[in-house]
Amino acid sequence: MFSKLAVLVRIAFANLFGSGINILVGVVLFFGAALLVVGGALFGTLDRSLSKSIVGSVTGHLEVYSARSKEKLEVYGKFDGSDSNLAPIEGFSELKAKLLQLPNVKSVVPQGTSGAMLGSGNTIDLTLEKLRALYRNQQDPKTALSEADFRAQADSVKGHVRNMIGLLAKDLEKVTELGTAESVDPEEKAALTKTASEEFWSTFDQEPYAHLELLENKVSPMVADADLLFIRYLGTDLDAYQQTFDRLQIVEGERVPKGRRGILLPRFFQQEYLKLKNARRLDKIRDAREAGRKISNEDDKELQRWLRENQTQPREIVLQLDGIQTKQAVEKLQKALSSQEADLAALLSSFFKLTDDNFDERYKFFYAELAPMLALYRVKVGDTMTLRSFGRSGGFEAVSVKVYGIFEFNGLEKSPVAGAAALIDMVSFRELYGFLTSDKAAELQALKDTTKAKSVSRENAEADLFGSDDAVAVVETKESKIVDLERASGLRETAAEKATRVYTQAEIDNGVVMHAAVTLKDGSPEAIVATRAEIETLLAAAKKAPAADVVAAAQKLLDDKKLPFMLAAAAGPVIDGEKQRAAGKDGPNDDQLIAFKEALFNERARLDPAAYQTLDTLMEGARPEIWVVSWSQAAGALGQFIDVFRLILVGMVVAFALVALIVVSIGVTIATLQRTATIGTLRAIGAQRPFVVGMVFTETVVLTLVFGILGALVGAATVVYLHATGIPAFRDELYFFFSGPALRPDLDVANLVFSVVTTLFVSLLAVLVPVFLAVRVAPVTAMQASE
Amino acid sequence: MPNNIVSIRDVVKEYRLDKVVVPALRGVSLEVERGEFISIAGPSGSGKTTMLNLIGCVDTATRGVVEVAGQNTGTLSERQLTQLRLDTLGFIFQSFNLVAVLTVYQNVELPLLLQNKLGGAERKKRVMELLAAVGIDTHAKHRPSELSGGQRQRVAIARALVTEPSIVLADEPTANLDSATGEAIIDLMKDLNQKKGTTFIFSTHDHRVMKHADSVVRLADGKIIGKESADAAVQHALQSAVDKAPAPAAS
Ligand SMILES: Nc1ncnc2c1ncn2[C@@H]1O[C@H](COP(=O)(O)OP(=O)(O)OP(=O)(O)O)[C@@H](O)[C@H]1O
Ligand SMILES: [Mg+2]
Repeated sequence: MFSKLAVLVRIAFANLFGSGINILVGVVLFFGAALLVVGGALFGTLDRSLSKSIVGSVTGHLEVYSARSKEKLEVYGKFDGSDSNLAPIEGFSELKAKLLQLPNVKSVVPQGTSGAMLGSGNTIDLTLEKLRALYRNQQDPKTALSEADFRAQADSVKGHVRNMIGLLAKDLEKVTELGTAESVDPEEKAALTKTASEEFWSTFDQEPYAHLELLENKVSPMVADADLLFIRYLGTDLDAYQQTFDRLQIVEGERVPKGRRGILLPRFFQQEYLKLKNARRLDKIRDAREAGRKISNEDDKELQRWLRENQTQPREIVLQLDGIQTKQAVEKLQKALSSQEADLAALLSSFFKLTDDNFDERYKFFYAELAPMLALYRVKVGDTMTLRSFGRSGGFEAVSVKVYGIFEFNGLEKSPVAGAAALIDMVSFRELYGFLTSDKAAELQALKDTTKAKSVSRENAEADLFGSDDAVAVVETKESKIVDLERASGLRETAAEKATRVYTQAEIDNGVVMHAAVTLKDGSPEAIVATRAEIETLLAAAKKAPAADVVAAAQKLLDDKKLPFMLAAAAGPVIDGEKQRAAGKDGPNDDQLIAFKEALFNERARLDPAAYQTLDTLMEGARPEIWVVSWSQAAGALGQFIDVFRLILVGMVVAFALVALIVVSIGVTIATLQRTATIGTLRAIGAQRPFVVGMVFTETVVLTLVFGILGALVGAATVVYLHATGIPAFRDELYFFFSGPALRPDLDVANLVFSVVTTLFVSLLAVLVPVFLAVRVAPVTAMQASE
Repeated sequence: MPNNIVSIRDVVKEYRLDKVVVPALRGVSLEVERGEFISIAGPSGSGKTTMLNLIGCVDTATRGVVEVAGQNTGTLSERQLTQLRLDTLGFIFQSFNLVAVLTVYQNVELPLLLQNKLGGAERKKRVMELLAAVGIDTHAKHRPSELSGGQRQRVAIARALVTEPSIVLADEPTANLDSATGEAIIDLMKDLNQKKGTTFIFSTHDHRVMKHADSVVRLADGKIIGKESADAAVQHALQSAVDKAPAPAAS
């Protein structure tokens, strides 16, 4: 036997380079194996790095949320940008304590994601606020300025406001000229005319607040570029969050002190949305130039757009400067540009005519000379900013929080995804989201019913949205009773209280939490699965025993084949699971239940009410109070990228397998046909059929192993090389996927083995056809053979 | 006659091509004794190869009995036939049929490996002896492609004899060789026939080759028209060559 094998291997090796076909087959296998190794490493690493990004910045390894929720948890928001409709977790602190009992659970961090309008205000708002503060301070002897100083300052600010109104009026004229007059709101026009008038300003001091109100309510909203910024935020126990997600780094300012209210803004958001647009564009042009792009390149559409916009949109700068500053800026620019132009906007336009030659100089000039006069960021560290959002109650909730710092995630600095959401304390989140725990909500409802007041009227909501803290104050006065009651139950504090109060851990934990990140000590994929199962079991303990009649009724629906296919497919495992549970074994798992719930929701319109009722009752009886899902599920669409990677990987393997299958079977078939004479001779001189089969197989195995292993090794070398050099994140979006500025694929021995085994498996499959042909070669062929 | 190594009785071989039946042998009977050195002669298409295929157990008769080394080949399974070929028969082909990727030594060793009876040392001894006997031992490490036709056929002879078969079959072993080399090959075969007592059955057109045979079986049109001495056969062959103008050199 052994000697036969020896001769087989000998023939196989001798044949290896004996035929061109074999070489061709070998080359395909070589590249295939190399591709599998490189692809496997690449996607495997991508998988790991994306998971690192998600796990390390938001979700932890697992997320828990209420099973009463209408929708699935998607921490990054749904496709349309809105948030999942979740029910709050009731009794978070008990849940946390329960989960922390499991040996592998490291921490449980409460969370809630939502979005809010950022009312940092536009330049007019800010200027008007300055004016209002001047008048307010003047009333208080402690803060009052000397009359002369007050006059000077008030006049400067007023001049600034009039300047802006002038610009607005000019804009309005342009619109009218363009014939799009119907789009002009007559009320707006009237307000502008009025506030631009001499009379308005000469009577200002008689009734400063009434005048300010008019400006704030009518003029300010006209400034479209106030673009109400939208910001996503993650409400969380900031202290626990910072301890758990240690990639978080404060790059400016400080952490929110323990127990305090406060917000941390992502650096990406700060740069992208809060920075003065002209300055931001300058930065981007600088980055582009550093990346080797040229201003002179007309085809660089993006770069050209930045250049153009800077020239055509100097207004943001013009609006920011008051009279004195404008004069200074004009002088500086005249000197720098050696120009006689007196109009600041025109000067700025020519200043922003950038070329590859003058860029560095002007960039420096901008930051050294102009920037000090400007507010580069609409919100600065230390500011208090007002977030406004539609709360659950339907009205606007406005919450002011102090910006403590700017943060980044290590390695994800440039990632828009990681930099999208601000971090806000849990208490402010609850207030903003308008969420109360059910018992508190009931209590408050009772209180409200007794006072017969609406929580927020429409009018007030408007004032709330566009007004400042004073507007909130108005609301507060109007609804003082409710507010008092709310305050009594710890729901509302004054702004001052809010800013200084230190909340206890119990206060942070004992409120509404939308979902919570669970981080694990061992975060390997297997450990995640295992711990998830443990948590499911732990939480399933609270389920009531399944109702036999409901399960039977559901089974009947299934048996009668009355359910739509998808629903039937999802219901099956749950029904089986419930039967198991009735028998004292493990019930359906969360994935099965969630799939069932989704299918039921999707098919609800097609079901007759009785069937729906049965299945809904089944669902309600089978589900736990809390779902526990993996980080990739919690990440929603983003998490599905992991599936996409895996799919691509599987696709690659399948594509390779198909190509290899075809090439190897054709190749080996040709090689076999070419050797019918030899096979016939061997048969004639006494080789049995199995020997011939063995010959073709051995040859293929040798061919595959030699080229496959060689390919796998070359693939491995490529991976090692890529690991050393790193694949740079050539788009900012890739930072998140790469979990850093470069992807460094890791070599995994399993990848090597998989690659070789797959190659071998495919080859052996492919060789069936030639083997079939080979055994049919008759010994008599040898007689007819001619060389 | 149990002593006869080959016994053919009333054998008919027909090839079926679609619906046409081509008769290749039409009732032939032949007895070959152990140690004979016989030639099968006859014009092209007379059925020489067909007959050797039947004796060589690579094909079976349509009717009649073919007994090789006492075994009725018609009753054997494909597996048993293969085993019979391995143990009892040796083959020398017109176009040598050496395994191109193996060396001379490895080609000759191959049947022994298939048999798997001898140990490594014995095997080596047997192979080297035979290579020496056919005068090719100096080329043991060469590939067939590096040898001349005559040398290749020597290797083929060594391979055919390495298992010490009872019968060696050779279908026109000299057809691809020039006449001097061809005669040398036949001489070699004859020499081995005498030294080892192996039965040789070979077919040929060539009267110069025929004359070395102990006796010649003459075939025509699928029938044996006589078994005669080599000299007589040569006469017949020359005669038929005169009859049919152009000289029959090779097939
Ligand atoms: N595989 C086959 N299929 C059909 N007919 C065949 C086949 N082999 C041989 N024949 C036919 O059988 C007859 C005898 O052929 P065979 O090859 O035995 O003759 P031969 O004497 O060896 O001729 P040659 O000297 O040309 O080799 C011929 O008529 C031939 O056409
Ligand atoms: Mg022939």
